[in-house]
Amino acid sequence: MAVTQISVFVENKPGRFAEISTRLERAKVKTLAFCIADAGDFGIIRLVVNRPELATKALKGFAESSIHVIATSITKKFSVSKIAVLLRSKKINIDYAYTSTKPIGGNPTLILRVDDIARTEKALKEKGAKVLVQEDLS
Amino acid sequence: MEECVIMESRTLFYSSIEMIDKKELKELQLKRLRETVQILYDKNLYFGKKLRQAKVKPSDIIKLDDLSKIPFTTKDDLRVNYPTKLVNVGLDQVVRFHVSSGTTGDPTVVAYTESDIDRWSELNARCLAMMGVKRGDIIQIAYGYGLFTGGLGIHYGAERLGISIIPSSAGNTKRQIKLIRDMHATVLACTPSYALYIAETAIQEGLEPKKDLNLRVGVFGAEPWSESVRKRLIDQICPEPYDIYGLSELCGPGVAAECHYRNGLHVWADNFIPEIIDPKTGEVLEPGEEGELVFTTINKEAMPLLRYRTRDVSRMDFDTCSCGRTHPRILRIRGRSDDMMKIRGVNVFPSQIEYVLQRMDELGDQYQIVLTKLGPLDDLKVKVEVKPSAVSDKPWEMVGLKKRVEDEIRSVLNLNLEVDLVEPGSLPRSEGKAKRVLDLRGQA
Repeated sequence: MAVTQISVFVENKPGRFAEISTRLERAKVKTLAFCIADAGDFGIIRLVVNRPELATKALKGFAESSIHVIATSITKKFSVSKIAVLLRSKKINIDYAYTSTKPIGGNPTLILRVDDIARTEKALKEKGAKVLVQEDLS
Repeated sequence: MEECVIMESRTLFYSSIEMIDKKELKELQLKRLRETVQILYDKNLYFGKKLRQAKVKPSDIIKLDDLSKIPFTTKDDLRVNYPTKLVNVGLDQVVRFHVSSGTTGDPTVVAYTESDIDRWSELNARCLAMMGVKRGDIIQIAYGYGLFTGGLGIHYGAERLGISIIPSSAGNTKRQIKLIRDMHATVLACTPSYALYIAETAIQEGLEPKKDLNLRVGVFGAEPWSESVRKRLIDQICPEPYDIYGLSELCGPGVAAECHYRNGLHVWADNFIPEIIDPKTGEVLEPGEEGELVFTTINKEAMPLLRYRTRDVSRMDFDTCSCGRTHPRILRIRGRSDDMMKIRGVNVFPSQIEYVLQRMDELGDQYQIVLTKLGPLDDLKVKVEVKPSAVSDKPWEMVGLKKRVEDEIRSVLNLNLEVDLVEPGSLPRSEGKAKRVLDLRGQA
């Protein structure tokens, strides 16, 4: 259930994202989705990758931490707005969301940060939406 | 139980003079002070003249309090007499010169006779024994060897104590770790900031310093450090970190150190008379009051100094310590008055900021204080490295951390400031004395 998101602390200055993406590339880690959130002098780079342990190793020296997020396929039946409405009906709040850089298993993928992962997963699955697990990303 | 500890500690004395009766100690100090004043009055052109100008004759020194009649010596006195004009013996008697780095001007030269080196060795042996270092221990000395007194001073003490020495000197951190590990060193001597850097590097190498290294005692000096750094040293590298104090003008390390009660640093008062003065008026302060530390050397041949102003800010405690030693203690050095920053009219020691930072688990060991001018006003910025445990996927939570650090420092200093959270490894590391303050206020 759920996939791993790595959050990396970076100073807000040129070259930090280049450093991270180059390191991942060199370690043959595939970045499937990412998003940069800035907070003035620093920011957090959020990454969903195919091999989180390998990525963590490649990012040695950086301050980073991992959490679980929901990854769900965007399809004809489950458009972004359909997913949002579905979560609204269950009173599930989305902290933030971003999408994959390329299709995963044939579909673009929505990454969702929510408080209650289990409940979100249940709500999506009940309606037949595809919720990805880490193995789906390798 | 208490008695047990004391009994155990008593086996760790290097010399019986450490427990000398206080009255006897004062008599010894007076005798040696009078000899020192006499010899400088008679033989030293510079100090002789200074004493005559102050109208102080050796016969005026009748009791210890008469020390306050003697004029102070400052680093400038050493500078104007560069290189060897203060040497009070024939240069053929001098077996060693040490030269202190002239970070704020010309270097200063300190000279030693054979017996000065001998006494210096003993003082360091006393310090190490006081920390529980004993035969069978292996000490790795990662203070610089050379013109700096740190490496050689501790080295002589360790040699006198008869323990095994790895004279690794400063630098080449990976090799330091390999040697500590392969040689099973039990004692590490270096600056506290370098000790933390060694621990950090060891972790990067995939080691667990507390488990994979066999260190027990840390001999950490040459820069002031706080109790929160002690906690970090205990957590990261060795269970028993001790503070050792000295300055090259007096001999180098070995002037004072902590015993295992760690409630101040015992000054070897049979060799140095400590005083605390008001740095502005020069008045001697009451015991317990905070002020500038001043030392008079009373057991040196090549270069005795009268009332040398250290610029270090501290307090004294003259009560006998629980360990049984009668030598007075200087409470931990709050900072060098040279390091004291005047920010918008407020006196600030880097150690005050350090204390706040190192208490917070989310923050790393490295920080830097940056002072600039914002128009006519001083601007204070503190850069501090974050630890992975501080990282949240939600940046606003980290902004909260930043604000918390700012509030904590503000409540201590009563000053507005900005805290910058920076990446681990981004601030400069030092293998010797850490440079924590970057004062750019003089620059356009």
